[in-house]
Amino acid sequence: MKARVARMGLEKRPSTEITKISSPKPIDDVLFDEIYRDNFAYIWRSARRLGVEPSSLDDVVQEVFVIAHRRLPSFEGRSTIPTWLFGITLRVARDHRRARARKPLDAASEPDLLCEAAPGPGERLERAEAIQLLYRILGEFSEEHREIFVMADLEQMPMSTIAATLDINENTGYGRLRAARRFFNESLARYRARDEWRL
Amino acid sequence: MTELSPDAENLIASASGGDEPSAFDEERVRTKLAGRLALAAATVATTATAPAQALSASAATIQATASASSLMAAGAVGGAGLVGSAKAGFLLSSKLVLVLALGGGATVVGAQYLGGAPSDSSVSRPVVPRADGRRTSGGDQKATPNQAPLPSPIQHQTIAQSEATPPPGGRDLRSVTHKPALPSETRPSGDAVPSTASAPTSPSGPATLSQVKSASFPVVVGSVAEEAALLRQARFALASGATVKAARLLEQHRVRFPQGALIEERTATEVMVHCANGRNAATDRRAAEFLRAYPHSPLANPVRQACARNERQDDSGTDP
Repeated sequence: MKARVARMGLEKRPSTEITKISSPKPIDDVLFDEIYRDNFAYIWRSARRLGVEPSSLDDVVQEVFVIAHRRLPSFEGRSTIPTWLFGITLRVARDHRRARARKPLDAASEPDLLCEAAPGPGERLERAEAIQLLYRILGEFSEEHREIFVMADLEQMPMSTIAATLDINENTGYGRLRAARRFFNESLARYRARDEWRL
Repeated sequence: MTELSPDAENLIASASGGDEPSAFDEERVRTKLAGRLALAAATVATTATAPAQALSASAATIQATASASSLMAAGAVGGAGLVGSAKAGFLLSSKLVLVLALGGGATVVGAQYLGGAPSDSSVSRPVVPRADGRRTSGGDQKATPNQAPLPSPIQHQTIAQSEATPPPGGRDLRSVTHKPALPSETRPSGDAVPSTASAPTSPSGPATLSQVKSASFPVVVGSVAEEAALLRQARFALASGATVKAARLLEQHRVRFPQGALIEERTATEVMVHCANGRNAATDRRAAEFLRAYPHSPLANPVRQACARNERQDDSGTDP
């Protein structure tokens, strides 16, 4: 588990230390630039995992940072900057998904998403296939299951943070996570079974 | 708690790193973001006072990006779920006008940065009044490899936003400990605590990226911007619990800008700092004085909440 946490990119999680941001840097562009630089990868992949298709990622990530820029002065430090940004991302992604659901895309768009990672030899190919399958299953999740699965099992957020971000109590969060994991396990098992059958 | 199957664990492990953005992604979005921020600042300036400089910057920005209406509409749509439409009004606040008016030739610059290749950006950096010598708060300037950073339109936002009540999104996120307790079923140890406090986390990019970074966000220059910067630092110091530092920064503001344009913001922050140090009769009196002096201040609620929160001392809960 620990190894997975490291491999899932958690080592690239932005600093949660507000003190880093509030260190005596001279001025605002440095501050915002630092926030952007430290959190871009985190917000990017979070948006993807939360269901934003690649063709809209630029816009959604931009929107997150535009909102963050606007709200930064009223940031009260009740959470860490990354968590605060994730909360914004969650809501922007949610709005995006819902808007997209009202205007369904053609079926070809999803495979584009899945094939985006350029496959390469060996490990890269394996990773590309894994990410493809992971996103395929994520795409079958309900919104609330997807969100909690991404937060808990991909980003390894503690339940207290998840509950606060989703505005639910922790017991609800655990119940939701249980259901999401069950769904993930079952979906994966189905995919494996199909693969075996094809072979 | 239902655990992930070993197969699921392996799949997630195998997929790790497969959805990380590239340095190119970061740069591309940065460029677009700079354009939007510049446009937003310029558009606000145009709407509020239409100073010639802002107009020209706005025009340049629009030329370099897209139509103002479409971009602003996109911003409005994207943010609609998060920010009430009333908030937009704050962006046009009188103090924002003041920023532009008092900025001593406040100039919004952004178009120059749009669409430029990284290698070009440092070359094409526009010549704008440098605020380096004026905006420091005591010799703690960050030394950048190439040029000292320029102030950004965030300073517009400082004033505008500081008048707005804290947004719901921000409020949802209550204090999260830096080393949160992990659900025992899902996290065997503290390994979920990011340990990259001092390490850059973005994908390593070419050296030119850093040049773009320090130049990407549009610029507002002016003494009010300096004020805003100091106050912002104070707010962040306060947010991180460094109340002594916050108080020192506020004192710097008081000394440097005794008749500043942002006295209301300074006073509000001072009250918050005092409340953070423990509520007592003196802090109550200060809060009351602030509320009496600025009864309609958008900062009134944040001040009340900051002090009330400190009184309850139960704000570290998890539900927002």
